Amino acid sequence: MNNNKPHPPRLALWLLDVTLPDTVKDDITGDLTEEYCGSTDTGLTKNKWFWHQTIATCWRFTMTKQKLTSIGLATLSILLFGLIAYSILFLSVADDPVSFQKAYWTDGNFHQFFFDEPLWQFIGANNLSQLTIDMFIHLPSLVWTVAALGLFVLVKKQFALSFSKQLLAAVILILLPYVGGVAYFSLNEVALNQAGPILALMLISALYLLLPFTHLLVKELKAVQA
Amino acid sequence: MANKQTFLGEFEHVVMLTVLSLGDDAYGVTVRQQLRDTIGREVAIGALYATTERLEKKGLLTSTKSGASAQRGGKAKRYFKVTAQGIAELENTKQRLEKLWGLKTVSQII
Repeated sequence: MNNNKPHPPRLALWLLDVTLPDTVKDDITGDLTEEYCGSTDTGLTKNKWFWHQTIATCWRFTMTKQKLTSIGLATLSILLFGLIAYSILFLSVADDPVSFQKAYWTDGNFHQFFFDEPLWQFIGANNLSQLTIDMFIHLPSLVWTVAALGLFVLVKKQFALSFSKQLLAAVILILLPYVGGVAYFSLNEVALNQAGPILALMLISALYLLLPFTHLLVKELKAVQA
Repeated sequence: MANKQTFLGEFEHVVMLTVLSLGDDAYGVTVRQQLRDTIGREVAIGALYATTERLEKKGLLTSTKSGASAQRGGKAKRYFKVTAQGIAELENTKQRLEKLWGLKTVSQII
């Protein structure tokens, strides 16, 4: 390129270079550069135009439906992971007897716990310093996690599942211990001091499975996009 | 029963006609220029390339690269050409649209 001629903003060119897919990178950069160099507008107007084109183009190629779905899925997964981790921490360290007098612990309406005041007060009080790794170690949940992930990979390979079917399978496998626990509480009279292991399986298995399934689903979305 | 026949989208239709009209000189800059000059439509370059990529996957367009120049920062041009399948699809679309335009109720209004 002739160094005496004005050239497009280097930062914009770099942005195009790092964000555009290889299949269109050279074509788009070349077209924009040609239009920029052929324009008779003033330097400022040309630069403004080039930046506008760069941002619009980068946005279009980075914010695809698949990428937005991946971001949404990852965000939801991280928020749920945090909520479940706090719930486990609450169950491990909360010492307020009033909190444990609620019927939902053993009557099959455990979902009410997630909307109840004690949990959100606990989260607001920032009790993270009480967190220890052994709170999250639970062998039955680990066994379920390995079985669920193995089953998922096997079924995915065997039946070449679409993304939406994989998502459905992941949700079912994550929720199965939870739904099983709720059903068990609904059908049986369980004393509060016996509810712990069931609640642990319901929550810790979901905690274990959330991030690996999110990783697998985001990977699948990337493959679909490619 | 599901209708498996594919139809050209409005923008796909416009892009293919423009490429056809430009003959051997259809690439990003000229396609955008032609759209601006003939129908007054300002098209984002990203939208254009996303559409041409889709049309190539459908087999309606092909492309070749050549013509790198200093004015393009040393980058080659991607020249587009409408395939025989693309021309057939354009003809089908035209016939379908003409049928709709020919409807008595439409021609009474417009």
